[in-house]
Amino acid sequence: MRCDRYEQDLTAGAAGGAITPDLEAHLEGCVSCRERLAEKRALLESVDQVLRMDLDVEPSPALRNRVITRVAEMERERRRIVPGVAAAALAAGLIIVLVAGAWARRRSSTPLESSAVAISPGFPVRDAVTPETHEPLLIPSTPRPLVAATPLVVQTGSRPAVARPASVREPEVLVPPGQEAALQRFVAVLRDGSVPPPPLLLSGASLESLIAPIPLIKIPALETKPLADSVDSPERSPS
Amino acid sequence: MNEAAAPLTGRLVSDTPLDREFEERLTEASTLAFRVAYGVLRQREDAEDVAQEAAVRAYRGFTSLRNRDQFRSWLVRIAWRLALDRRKSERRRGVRELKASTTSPVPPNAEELAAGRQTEKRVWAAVDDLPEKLRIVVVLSAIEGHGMREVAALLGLAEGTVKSRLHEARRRLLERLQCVVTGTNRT
Repeated sequence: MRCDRYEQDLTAGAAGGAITPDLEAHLEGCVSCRERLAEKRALLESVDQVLRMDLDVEPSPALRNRVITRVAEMERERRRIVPGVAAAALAAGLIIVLVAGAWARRRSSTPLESSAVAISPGFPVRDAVTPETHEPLLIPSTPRPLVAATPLVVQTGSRPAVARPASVREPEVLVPPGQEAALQRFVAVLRDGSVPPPPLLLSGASLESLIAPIPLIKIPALETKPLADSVDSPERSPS
Repeated sequence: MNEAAAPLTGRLVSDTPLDREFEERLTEASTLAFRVAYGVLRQREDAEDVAQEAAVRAYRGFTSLRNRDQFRSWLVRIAWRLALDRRKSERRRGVRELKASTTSPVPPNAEELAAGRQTEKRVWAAVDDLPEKLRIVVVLSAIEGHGMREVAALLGLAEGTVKSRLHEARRRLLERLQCVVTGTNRT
């Protein structure tokens, strides 16, 4: 039946879509399709009526009170929970701070790197200087209360020493070679506190005497020669 | 949001400007939220539960709402989402649907009443089968005589998009209901 091909167009038209020119022309001459279109529109109108009537409902007056009650309960609960949560958070924070402090103290008991700042007076200078290897001399400190410092691997002999408990001794100090006496004087003056510490460099000493001249590197002169003028060179385009 | 919960004297929670504003906006939009929930659940008690929960959630998030002029559309979307979730949850639990309440006019005889109920049931079954984004357009356009512009504002869409979706929804409804009317089996 030739009207079947217009079924989808009729449905689209009834649903609010545009009527195609082809369909419009067909409707002018087809009573059956006009009736079909009217039926579809009536069906949709009944759908609209059902929806409008069913959705034209009012909530009960108690709904508002239910909302108020629920919100009030929520606020009371929030006020009850918040102080407890704050107290718990504060306690947790204190615990974290205490643990972190204890951990930091334990870590600071390990031997220092060369940046250590703890200085103990009266320590003996080791005579095990190794100028051949130019290893820095380590001056062990006497047992004193803890001083915080960065970690360090202590070289005693040929192997690192085990870090001592923080409560027993201070971290040890790396001393550059040849500076142990100067550092000893420096520390002694600091302990005393009455005389400004002398400069580590002796008065009148010049840096040149302390610093070995840097040998110049002799760079041999380069011999240059022009490239061979060859027609096979890839850089040259054929003339 | 408020400092102290006031007794139930007719105001929401307290007399702060924020709470007063919330109450005013809720009063204006709560019926719409209820009707949107009813459009999904078609049970008055369930729709009120959803509307209540939507209002509570809106209260919680009211201070963080960037544009409070969009409170109405925001509340509608909350209610819609909660209603759909509740319906899915009930279906998963296998809760048998209670008889749907209706405000259709009472026909003069039992046969017409039965026919009316049957039509109503078919219509809502067809609406429930629509994809979600088409379904909400149908429901909103049937509530309170909303036009394209109002529906577009509630959903935050362009009018052209709403018109297109409404046309597609009505086309699908027509195909589905025509099959029912003519007796053709269609899944």
